[in-house]
Amino acid sequence: MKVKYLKMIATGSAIALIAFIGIQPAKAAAKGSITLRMTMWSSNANHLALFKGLADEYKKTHPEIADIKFESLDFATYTQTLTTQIAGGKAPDLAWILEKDAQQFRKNNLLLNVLPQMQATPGYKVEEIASGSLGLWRAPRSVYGYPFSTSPFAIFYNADLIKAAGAEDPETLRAKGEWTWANAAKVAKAVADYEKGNYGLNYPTFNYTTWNGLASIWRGFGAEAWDKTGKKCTFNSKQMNNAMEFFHGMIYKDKSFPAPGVSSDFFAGNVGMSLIQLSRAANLATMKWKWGVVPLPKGPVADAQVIGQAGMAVLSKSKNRKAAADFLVFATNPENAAKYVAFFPQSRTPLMDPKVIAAASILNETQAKMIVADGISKGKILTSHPKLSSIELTVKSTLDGLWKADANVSETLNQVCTKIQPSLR
Amino acid sequence: MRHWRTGLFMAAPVLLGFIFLVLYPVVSVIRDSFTSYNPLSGEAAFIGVDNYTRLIQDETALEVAKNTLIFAAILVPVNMALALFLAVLLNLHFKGRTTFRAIFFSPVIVSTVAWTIVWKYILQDDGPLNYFIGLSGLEGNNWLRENPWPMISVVMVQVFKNLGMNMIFFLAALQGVPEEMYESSEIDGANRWQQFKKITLPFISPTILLVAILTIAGAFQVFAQVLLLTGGGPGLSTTVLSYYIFVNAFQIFDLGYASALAVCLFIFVMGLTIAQWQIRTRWVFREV
Amino acid sequence: MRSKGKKRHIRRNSKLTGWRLFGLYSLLLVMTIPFLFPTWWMFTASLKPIEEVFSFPESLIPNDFQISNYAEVFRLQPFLRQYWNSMSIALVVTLISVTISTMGGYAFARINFKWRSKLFIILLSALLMPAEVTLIPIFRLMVNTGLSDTFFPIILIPAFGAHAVVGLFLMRQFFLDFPTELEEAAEIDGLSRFRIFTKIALPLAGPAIASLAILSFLYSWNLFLEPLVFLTEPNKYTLPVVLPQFTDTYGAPIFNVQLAATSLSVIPVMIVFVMAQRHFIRGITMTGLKG
Repeated sequence: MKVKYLKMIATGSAIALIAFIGIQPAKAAAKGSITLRMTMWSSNANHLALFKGLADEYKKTHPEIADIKFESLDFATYTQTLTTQIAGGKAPDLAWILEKDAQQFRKNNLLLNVLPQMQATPGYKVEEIASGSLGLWRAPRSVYGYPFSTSPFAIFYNADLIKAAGAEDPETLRAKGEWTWANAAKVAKAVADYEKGNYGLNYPTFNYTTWNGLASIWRGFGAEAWDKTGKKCTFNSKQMNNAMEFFHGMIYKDKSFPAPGVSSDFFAGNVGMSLIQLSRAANLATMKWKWGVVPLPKGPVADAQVIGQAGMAVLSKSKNRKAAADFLVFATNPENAAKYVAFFPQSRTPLMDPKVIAAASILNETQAKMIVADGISKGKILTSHPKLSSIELTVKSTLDGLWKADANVSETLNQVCTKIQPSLR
Repeated sequence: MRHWRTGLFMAAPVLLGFIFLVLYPVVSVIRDSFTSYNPLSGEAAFIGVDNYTRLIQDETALEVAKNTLIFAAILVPVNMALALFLAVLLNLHFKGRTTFRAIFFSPVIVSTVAWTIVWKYILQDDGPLNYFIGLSGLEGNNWLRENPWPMISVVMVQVFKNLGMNMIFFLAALQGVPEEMYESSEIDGANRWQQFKKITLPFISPTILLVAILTIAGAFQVFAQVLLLTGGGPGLSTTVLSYYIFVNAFQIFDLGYASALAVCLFIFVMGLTIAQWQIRTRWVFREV
Repeated sequence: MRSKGKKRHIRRNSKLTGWRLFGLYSLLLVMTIPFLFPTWWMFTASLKPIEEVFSFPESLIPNDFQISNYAEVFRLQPFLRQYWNSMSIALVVTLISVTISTMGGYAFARINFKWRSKLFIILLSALLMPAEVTLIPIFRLMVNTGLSDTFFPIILIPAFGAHAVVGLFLMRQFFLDFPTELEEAAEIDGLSRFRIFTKIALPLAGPAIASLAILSFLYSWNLFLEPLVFLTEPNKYTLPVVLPQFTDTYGAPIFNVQLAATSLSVIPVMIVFVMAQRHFIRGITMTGLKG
């Protein structure tokens, strides 16, 4: 009797349990039950408004979404905070991913393949995305993120300041076909005036820390951090030596590039030229002085244009992967991607049309063609590596050897390779 | 013995806290140091002494260990000597000494982060310090970028921050020195310096020992200053063990290797403390 | 209490006159510069427009007051919320750590229980334990229990961890010097040991508890490493975590706004300190490490 009784209870609870579990998915899709969270490194009010607008629109057609939260994190520590969230078991559902981290995130299986959703959505037009731009995010039969910003590095300049220094205008040089790093350095030197706190060229995101951004200089000299396989360090190459000698000369010989620990602000008006990504130059619109923009100068080896990318991805540890992927597809479909143009250069071909860009951004049509359309089609994306986090700091601390007047460039570069080569393999 | 239940009961919260937040972590960190664990890639395995073999071969770790010792070797004497010096001065009787005590103590109440942020600007190459040095006709330095200044800067920022606490400890000890002892020595014709050496120092030696132990332990924990002032640079010149552990654990998420480094730090601190305790009989004149 | 003569200062200090006094003042004044200037500079620079922060010549008083830096602090971060986080966490930590350290300190000073001295020595080892050593296992523990990115670790670690032992140590020192007569009398009256603690010892421990409370509050208020590791959402940040994060789109700090935020975090504590500094320093001296 007793056994039978126990069996009954067991069966009963099993049914209840199954029913409970069975209800779960149904419950998950119930009205307003899902809250999505996306981390981003911008706290720009316009950017936030753009994403909030997309979220509001999405919620109208998707009642199961209670809310979509956008979490602005500090840019300098963004990857650190994001990885800590993931390691701490509190991964966001969606995240902005920097180009340099893409390979590492993918290698650690942190990103979800969203290609199925993209293909299942009518009118999404994956094929519209310039294939070069998708490189970091794409594998056979999979796409791990949408590059919502494919932003070329360019030289923005203060035409008034350069004119006052009696130097030739970068745009004039470019038109003559003489826009080279060597000539850029001459312009910078003419503008630099230590007494007044004026500098010829600065590079705000580099700040002697984010060394991978130096690709915008070294690629013109034909240099790379490592070879295509990512297994052999090429910091010690002849080309890299030339590039770093050149850059070092600007800092310490010409004193036209702010040395480490010196603050400079292009937008404040005392820097002649600034190496900035287009996506970060929006406040130029409000400047009182006359500004211009040209592509990166030609190096002795190549006319190398460099692109920084930001991807939007679904994290594989998200608890609402499907809902997150659906939102990502919605937020990056052709109509919505068009809304980004004002802030972020797009890699969907119709949105690379100079007319479209000129209408939405601070650039005029000529600039838009030169910087965005040509830049993206010719340019290559910044250096990335699957083991970046363990290499990044070593390279940074070793390269510190370069940032002093009496640096031994070739020895320092050799050291970089000695130190990171074991990790690359 | 009647009250041992009450005693244990009253001490229990601290004891339990100790067990879960100090003892258990120390045991686990030793266990974890024999594993590889990366919460990002999900990798987790027992790998024996691999982390330790890697540590021995890691040139960076060697340099970091060296920096850690240099840091402590500068910080501890400078901090203690200055604190004692100020305590002696401020134990004199003059108008305004409480104000001076408060001024020297004030950075203690400011958070390390706030203190460091402000100093970072002050020490910048184009910052106020170099400006004022420039006014006097001398040339400043790039304090946070040119060796050996970064290490010295990190040490000094930490010294100014925490000096006040040690100063107060010393003041308390100095106030405990019985006046009669000076009076009798004065009759013997001892001068101030002799008095200080023969009477004051021996009398406060237990405090010196305690302050030394705490300051050394503190020196091995320096973190915010390094992260915010120099980021461990230039090169590795200011990367100390505690910061290196943080980088490996919470930036690279190589928790196994970071655990092995943490075990080293633990051994460092414990070893030094035991050593000090052992040699105390040679210079500490009274038991605490 | 040890015999501290009222005449302590009379002999040696009465000589300080004229040049000696002048020399002492000058020396001390020069030495205050690195202790005072940062606070002054922080506050004045927080009121300057960005161009002026690093302009030459350095201005000790802003030429052009820009109060909007302070408004910007609240625009860039949920600063009020973060302020509240810091404040409420510090209050909870203070409450817990004062309670348990006072009880524990009393037990170790006045109650002769089993293994007392051995336990005390073991506890003291916590004073030396670098936070970096214990943090990794605690991190794993918190992740496994789903408590990372909550206030739990940020409260538990300072309240019950190594810092509780510091508190216990200070309170033990205080109770060691406590007169025994009162307690003995109470014991004869038949009060339990715990009642003696609450009725007799506690009311007299006010000043010591006050300084312990201040130390615990400051410890939690200033805690950096633990919140940095555990808190990853801006809404949960405490002040030390958010202060370094006032950066522009290039990741470079926005000097004046960052200094405004820093001032906001420092100045209230500073004002309380200036008002209470006499009691505060005396309290610390009293509970401190006596020779």
